[in-house]
Amino acid sequence: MSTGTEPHASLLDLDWDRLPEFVRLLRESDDVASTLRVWVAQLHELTLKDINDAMERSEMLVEVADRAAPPASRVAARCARSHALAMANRFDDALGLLDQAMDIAHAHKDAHARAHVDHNAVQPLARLGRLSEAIERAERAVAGFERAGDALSTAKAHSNLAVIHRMRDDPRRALHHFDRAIPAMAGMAGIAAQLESNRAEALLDLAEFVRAEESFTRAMSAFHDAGALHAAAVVEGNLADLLGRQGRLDAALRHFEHARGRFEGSGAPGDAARLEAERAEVLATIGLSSEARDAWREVIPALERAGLVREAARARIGLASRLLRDGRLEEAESVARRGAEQCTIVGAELILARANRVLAGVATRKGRLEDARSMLRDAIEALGDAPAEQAATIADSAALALESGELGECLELIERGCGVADRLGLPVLRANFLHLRGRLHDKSGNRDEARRAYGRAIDQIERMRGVFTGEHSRAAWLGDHAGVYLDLVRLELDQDSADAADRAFNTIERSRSRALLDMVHGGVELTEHIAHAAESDQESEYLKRLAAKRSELNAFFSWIESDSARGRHAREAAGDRLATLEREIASLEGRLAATRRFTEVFGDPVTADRLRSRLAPGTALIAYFELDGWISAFITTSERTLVNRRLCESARVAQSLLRLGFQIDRAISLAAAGKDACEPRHVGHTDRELSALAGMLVEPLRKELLDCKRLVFVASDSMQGVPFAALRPASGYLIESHDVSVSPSASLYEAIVSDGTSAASREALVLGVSDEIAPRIAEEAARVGSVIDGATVAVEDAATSELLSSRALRSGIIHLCCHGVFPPGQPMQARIRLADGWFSARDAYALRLSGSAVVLSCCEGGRGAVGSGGEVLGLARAFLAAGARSIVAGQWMAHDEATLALFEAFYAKAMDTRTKSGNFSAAACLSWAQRSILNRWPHPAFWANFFCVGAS
Amino acid sequence: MDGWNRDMTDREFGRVVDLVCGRLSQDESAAIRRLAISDADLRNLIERVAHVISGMGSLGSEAVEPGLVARVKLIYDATLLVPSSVDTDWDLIVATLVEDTRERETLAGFRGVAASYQLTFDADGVEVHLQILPDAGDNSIVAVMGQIEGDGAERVEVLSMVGGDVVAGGSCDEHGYFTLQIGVGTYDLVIVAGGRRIIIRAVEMG
Repeated sequence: MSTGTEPHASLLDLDWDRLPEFVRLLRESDDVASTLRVWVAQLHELTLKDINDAMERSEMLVEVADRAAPPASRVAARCARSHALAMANRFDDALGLLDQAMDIAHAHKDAHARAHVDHNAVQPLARLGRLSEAIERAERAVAGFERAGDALSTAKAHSNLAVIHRMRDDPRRALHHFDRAIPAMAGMAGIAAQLESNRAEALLDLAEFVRAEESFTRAMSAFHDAGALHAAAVVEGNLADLLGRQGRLDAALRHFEHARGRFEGSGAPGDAARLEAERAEVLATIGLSSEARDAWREVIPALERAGLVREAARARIGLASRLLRDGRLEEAESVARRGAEQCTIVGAELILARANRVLAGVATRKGRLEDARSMLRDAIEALGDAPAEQAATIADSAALALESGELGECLELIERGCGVADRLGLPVLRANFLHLRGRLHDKSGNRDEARRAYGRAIDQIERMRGVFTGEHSRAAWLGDHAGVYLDLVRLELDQDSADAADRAFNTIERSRSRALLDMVHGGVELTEHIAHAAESDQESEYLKRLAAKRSELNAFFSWIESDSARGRHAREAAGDRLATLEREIASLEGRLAATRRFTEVFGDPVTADRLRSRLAPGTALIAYFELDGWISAFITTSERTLVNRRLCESARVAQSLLRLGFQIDRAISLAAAGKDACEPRHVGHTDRELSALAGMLVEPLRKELLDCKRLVFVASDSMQGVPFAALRPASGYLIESHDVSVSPSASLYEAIVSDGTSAASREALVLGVSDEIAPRIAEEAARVGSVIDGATVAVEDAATSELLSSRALRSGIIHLCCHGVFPPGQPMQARIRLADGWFSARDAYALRLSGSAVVLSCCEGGRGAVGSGGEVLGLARAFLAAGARSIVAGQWMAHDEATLALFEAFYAKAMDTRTKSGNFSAAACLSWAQRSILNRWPHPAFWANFFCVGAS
Repeated sequence: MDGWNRDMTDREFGRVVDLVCGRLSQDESAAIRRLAISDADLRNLIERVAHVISGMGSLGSEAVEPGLVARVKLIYDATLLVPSSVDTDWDLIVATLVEDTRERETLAGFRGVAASYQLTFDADGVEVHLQILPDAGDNSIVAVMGQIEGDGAERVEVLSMVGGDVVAGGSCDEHGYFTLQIGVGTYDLVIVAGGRRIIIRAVEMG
């Protein structure tokens, strides 16, 4: 212990057992105040590094000071502990302790100590949103320190004032105080770094992105050097926020993940929640709507518990903005109003302007245009000091002016906003303004200008799409910006020019299934669903958690099959748990993807011209698309591309599909009960719907398809599930006169056709797992295996996912006959049952296939759910992404006996027609097989569920 | 017969049936009708039984058909429970359950499990098929699709079993299809078809 000449004992040596000893030694010391000053400084350092430890030691420090130190030191100890409490987000406790400190300072008439107490009260008051009080205390502290001639403390007090003014959305005044504070503290590494970071936040508000990024980077580096990792994480979170606002979204997510790793378990739940709320803004910008909404809903209570009212308001308004975009007007309005109330309480003017932007959006959608205009005008004015935010509001205003027909005003606003977006380098905003400009020119009849603007907007969107490292992010981004593609398509189709169809086709292809196209072109590593090797502790942690969740999910799949899962309540509980697990797994996968570096995997969408060169004579590719509630179609052959507009309303197709599904399910139910599903009246009901669908989708194209015997269909979103082979124009089922296949997009068709990998010349793998419900599976596996030379056949216990994984790469044909499940709403949980458990879509992504033909001879193996960007999610997609080049799979329940007959015929034809190199057309063979069994099973439920994706 | 009460025996109920069918002697008939003058419940009972028998098309039959009383009582009991909101001036038919796919734990002969279940009812030759499918995103809602095979299907109403309020409804198209979306629960369905009302009691939705 110090005697005044020896080195002071460290605060880190103090513990509760030794406390009496420390008290005694301190009393005996020559310079108690000096010792306390050293300990206070050590505590401040510790607070930046390890809050939990700092909390405990600060409590001991106050105890020691109370027993052995003079009043000024007792005040200092309390101030130091209050700082630790504030860093742990316990703001009310901090203020309570400072009240005690003030009482001591008053009692001993110590003005300097009073100034210290005022100074320490500023942060907790500010964090609780009591900004006016915080300013008052800070100004008192400045005056008190100046009177005492304490230059350093004066500078610190200025820095506090700067922070508060920033919180009051007055970044200019904040900068003024920062500039008063920084010079005096340049020599104090930790504090200087903190100030640098705070100043950067003010610069960020003023959209001075470059200077702000430089300051954040400097501050982060300084904190790292000082070992102040928690503080470094806070700054990294702020840097991530900057990157997000700039539109550097992928980089923003990476930094958020890195900072988050520090905050977990740090004892500062409020900071962790704030980080998550800012991350949600980036997720929303990307278009990951449900992830953003979930994140906001989760953190708002945590922010409010921590007293972070301003941050909670910002999160509420972010959530409201997304709800508005998703069309949930009442919810959006309610949440925005609550956020606005909170903004008013804490005087957060900039965030209040954001709330008004959302409310203006609601008013616009409800037709209250004048109200909306007024709110937006006020918001634009209020955001004068926040140019990036202001520009986003200007975009809303421009859109409203356009809708109201105020074209001159719209143009003015676009020019103004675009200028800001260009100057600040904001690509997201730039894309929005370009889109608006396109719409303006479109409405004004300036077609060429409109086309140019739309084209530039699309280029900007695609440039941004390319930086995302995950399949899901790329799809969400494109899906969120699909509007500009459709506007361009509409423009092209309205032109009466020779190449209008080509141009419109090319644009549609750029908006469809791009993430899957990327994977098919460059490999499946783009997907979030494959776990890569960890490159950091944080990634290892995520991978561990992910493995645990996936194990739990697989165990759940098995439990669902068991007797204990019967009954409605058990099913409901299972459904809830599966949905929760899916969200948790998707969240972890997204976080892992965010930590990865840039993935240079891009697929080039096909043009009409290139497609024509790929199509064999006699083949037509019919690509349906939806515009303004109507389904239209491009028909491409080797000679031409035509467009047939407004074939039918999407709603009518959807209705017909529902009825068809009803009849199919009824037939299945009858068959399962041992009744005759093929009775004429049942077939009649089903055929009526198939005829209706044919009447809407195929009959109008009859003239264009006259000479074509091979048809490749690309369904639009609402057409998923249409059994094209069974569509019934006047001449009978389509399959009776044509070979039929499908593709997710024309680009994917072209990519698959161009893939020269030969399938049939390599090995064949046949797996079959039967049971008493579907006993013919084993027989199917045996028969299929006997037809294909050299096939490896594994049935029952031998048919494992391990075998599949190990043999996948060298197998040209993979035939899987087993049970299958497609849970509606959870496409990633689509799965098939092998001997060692369930093999899901996630597992399929992890396979390595090389041009294989994969047959999923099970229920619903080909069923999919349409996600963002028109991507159809499910098992078939996963196999394609993993490298398959033909998929044969079914959309509904597979009848055991009919499926056996179908695939017996399929492979007989395949082996009969294969070329010298061993290739065969899966589409032609399936079509032939379907024709061969439809007389035996007249009801389409038995044969029409299977379709082929692949070259024809 | 002392009057009507809910605990009356089958024998006593049979006497009311006989009264309505004209098979009692004049004295017996007069005795019951005298009771009915001051007993509103008995009067209602006689009226309802007459209505049921009229609907069965066997009013005035001279022969005592075996099982007639039991059949009348079955339908009578069902009509007693007809929701008050249903206009009983219509021809009423209470449908019987013919098939419930939930009784089969597995889908024999198929390589998967069905997410929906189906119910089939018969109402005097009119078949009603219902498919109940849970909502993908919300456990508390189900989508119901149905088809009524028979002439003149007009509309479907879903009634709460407590209070008989109409909670959902829809028209049938020319092929007898209808769709509904309702909360999970048990409901009565009333189908208007060809000048008749078909009642389906206690349908479990979800």
